[in-house]
Amino acid sequence: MTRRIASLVENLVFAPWRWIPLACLALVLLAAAWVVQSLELDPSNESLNLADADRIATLKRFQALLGNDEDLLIAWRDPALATPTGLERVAQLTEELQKIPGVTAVFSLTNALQVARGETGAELKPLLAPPYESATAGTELRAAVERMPEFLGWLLSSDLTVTAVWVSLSQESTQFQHLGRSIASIQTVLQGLRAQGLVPHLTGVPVQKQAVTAYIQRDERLLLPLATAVLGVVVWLHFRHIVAVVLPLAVAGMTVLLVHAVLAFLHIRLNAITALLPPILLVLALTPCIHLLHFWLHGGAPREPRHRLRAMLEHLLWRCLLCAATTACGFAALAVSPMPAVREFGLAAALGTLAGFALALWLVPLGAQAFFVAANASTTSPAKGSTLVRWFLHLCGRFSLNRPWSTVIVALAGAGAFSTGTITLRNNTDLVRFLKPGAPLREDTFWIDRHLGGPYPLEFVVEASDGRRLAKAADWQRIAAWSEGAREIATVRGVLSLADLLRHVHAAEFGLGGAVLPSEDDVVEELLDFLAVAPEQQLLRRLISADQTLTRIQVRLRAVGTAEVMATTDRLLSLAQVQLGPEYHVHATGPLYFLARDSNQLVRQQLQSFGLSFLLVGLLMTVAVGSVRFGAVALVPNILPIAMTAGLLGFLQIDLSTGTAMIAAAAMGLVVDDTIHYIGAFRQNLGRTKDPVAAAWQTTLGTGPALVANNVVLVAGFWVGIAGSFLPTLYFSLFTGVTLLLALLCDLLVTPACLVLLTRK
Amino acid sequence: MRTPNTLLAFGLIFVSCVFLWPRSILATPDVRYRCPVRAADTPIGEVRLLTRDEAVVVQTLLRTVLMRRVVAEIRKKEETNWPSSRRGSESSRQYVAALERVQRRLWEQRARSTRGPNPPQKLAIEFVSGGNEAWVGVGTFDLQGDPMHFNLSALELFERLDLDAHYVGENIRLILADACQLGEEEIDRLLRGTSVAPSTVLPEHH
Repeated sequence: MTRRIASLVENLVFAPWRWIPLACLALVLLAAAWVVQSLELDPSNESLNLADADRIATLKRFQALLGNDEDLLIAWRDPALATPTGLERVAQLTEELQKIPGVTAVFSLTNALQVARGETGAELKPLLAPPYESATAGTELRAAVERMPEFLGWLLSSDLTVTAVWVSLSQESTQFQHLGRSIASIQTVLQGLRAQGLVPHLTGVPVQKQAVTAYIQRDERLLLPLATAVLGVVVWLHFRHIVAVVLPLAVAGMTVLLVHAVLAFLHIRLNAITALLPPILLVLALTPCIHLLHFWLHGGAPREPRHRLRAMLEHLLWRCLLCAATTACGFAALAVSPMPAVREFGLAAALGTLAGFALALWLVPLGAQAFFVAANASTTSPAKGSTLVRWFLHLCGRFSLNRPWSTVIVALAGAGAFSTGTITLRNNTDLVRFLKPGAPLREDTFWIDRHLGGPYPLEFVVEASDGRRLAKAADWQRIAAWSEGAREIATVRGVLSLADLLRHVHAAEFGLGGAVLPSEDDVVEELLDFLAVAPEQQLLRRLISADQTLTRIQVRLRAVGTAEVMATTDRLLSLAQVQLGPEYHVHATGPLYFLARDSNQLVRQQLQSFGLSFLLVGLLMTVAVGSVRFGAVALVPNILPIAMTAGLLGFLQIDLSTGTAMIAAAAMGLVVDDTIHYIGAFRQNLGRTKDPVAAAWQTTLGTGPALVANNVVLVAGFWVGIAGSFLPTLYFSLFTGVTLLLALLCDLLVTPACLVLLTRK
Repeated sequence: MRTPNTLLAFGLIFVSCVFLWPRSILATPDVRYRCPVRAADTPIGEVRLLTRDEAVVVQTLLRTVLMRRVVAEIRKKEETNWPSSRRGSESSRQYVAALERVQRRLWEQRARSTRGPNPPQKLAIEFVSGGNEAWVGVGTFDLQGDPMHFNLSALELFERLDLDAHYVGENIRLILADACQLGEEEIDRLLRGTSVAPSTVLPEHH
């Protein structure tokens, strides 16, 4: 097969008709440029959710019965809150927010209702009614929250200085086309508070969506040019020739364009994960270009271009093809992930690897023979850093080849020690903590968590097993007992359920001294009848479905990650089993729960991806080196850096998340490249010298510089992702780079040691 | 055999008169005026002024799940309008007591929904004045078509109270004024149009 490929490449580079495929490529690129304009962003982060039918059905049922669960929360500190001025501010803001198109409801202190006893029973009255008198405003506010303590932490802090306004948007307004406008209108209204010297804080799922969209756009604008500039500099430092910089970058640019065009053609939208593709595709496409150009310029091959091409293909085609195949396999292994974003990222990166390899194989010799035809290898001076590189390679060679057993033992012991850190690794994803410190959404959410409480709503729905109405006294007493138990959990800041409202309505309806739940079914029927015709159906519909068979319990959590969310959910579900028993079904639902559940599944799937990647790469390596023993040895230096990186993440208390869980599977495909090149060259050298140590020395000094250059390019390319807006992508970039550096060390230390131990007699 | 047959015929006539008489009052009612009854801006019923034979009838049809509250509201109004010092207060007490009995009966007999809110209870009140009769009936009703249009299909009175004519006549005026927001002159005009003996419906002058 390699002969056919070599023949094809030779024709594409030297045949008289070589301009025809080039023109075709230009047309394809033009078409790709046109198609890529329709590439859209996924602001909903839907692709970060698992495509699970049960999940979608539960969520849809929840939304159909209880409405949209995506609320905005605005909170601010106002020392004058308990005065007419402070309350007027709240009233004015509430009124202005209600006027915004797409806002379906606004809940604040000034339009909240309390349950009071009227002349004929319970009545819903405003919690605070204007005009707000300076003499009584504070007392009234205090009395109101004493009557209805449920408002504490929801609309008001206990010191009466921080207040919140909850804004509900229509389903349509939370769609991408309208979301930006709705949030911009809300921000404009909040300017009124800022003008009065107050600092409003805004959070909620719609803001997260909008922020993610903005950050993806920012990353798209920043990362690609930054990666191009960084990689250009790195390649320049290695080759010191402008054409040697432009040619690989052109190949990489074409790869990025083609892959994005495919995404656009398939209507796949960019998300927080796939936003990383441009710099990674650049790196993946640059790698074969560097190997090919390095051979063309420094390979000591014949001067005549056709002969030089043949020599280059003979030396590098099989190795580069194998490297591309293993890298593509590593990324393609992510396709088993149930998360569409990860799957799309893996498949796009695999496609980019193969496309980049094909383009490099075609365009690099074509460009090189055109621009460097008259030039001798000597015209491109070796990089100045090569002395340093040679010194480093000598050091590695001395250590690994003089003491091969020590090298292997030290490496294994080091990796073992590092990998103990994996014990502390935990699966924890947090959309807000995905953002870097200082990001407004992150700061606002944590501020609200500190000063008001519970910005993360965890939703539960309760229904009777037989599907009947929840109209028995026992229903609500059990639900209330469960809510009380939930309030005892440290991560829980508040619980809102219809049981609380029923208690107040019961007390007001029958003039009871305290708010207690009724013990008779008939009374519950009456209270539900009262609520069924109460004027504030919008709020009630959020607590109980219209058919009264399903009730929602909102547990407000502190700003915690998914690890704690899942622990709290499990605890609450266990508590529900005790308090509610088998007569009820309790389902956890809502965006926070699904994020947490998906995150747990994701890690399991990522381990499967890594296992698959390991198997595929191992198989390819064995086939490539034609020996099971060599194949097994080749895997050792590639497992060690991944184990060390995993341990490092644990020691640094960096959680496994969407980004970090991808490192192993993606890195596996990349790190083996060096091993393939090293073992390929070693076997050639061994064939000539018959001396393992001499062959290893020749390989380290001969192939080593290309490996170092290649790794520097890869690491530089990945580390560009550090400038991204999301911590998981930042960690992915940073630690994939770290893994590559560790892999380079292993390939220059452990691989020669293992090969010498394996081949010496 | 003739005697048993005659007895059976008389028996059937008796049964019809005693148990089926409420149906007769549905016979072609001549509704002269109607207005909705609202609770917190939600329509919960209708007050209608009609003539039946020689009598003027103010019929109140209420349809709500909160009937206990509505009855409590009526009690409150009755107590305000008919203090014990006023003539007719005893009739008012009898009326309210009957109202509460019927409300309890409706509550006990109400249909319980298995899914969705309970169906509303339906309470009918008639103040009948004219000729030689002055009475109040309390019962229930059925509707046909859109329930918001109050197209009566059946009316069943559980209790009939023969009350003080002055109380009945005056309460007809009070109901029209309160529920339909009518002034004295409009009420006079409406009642005159019903050709009912003026003595029973003229306003009471204190």
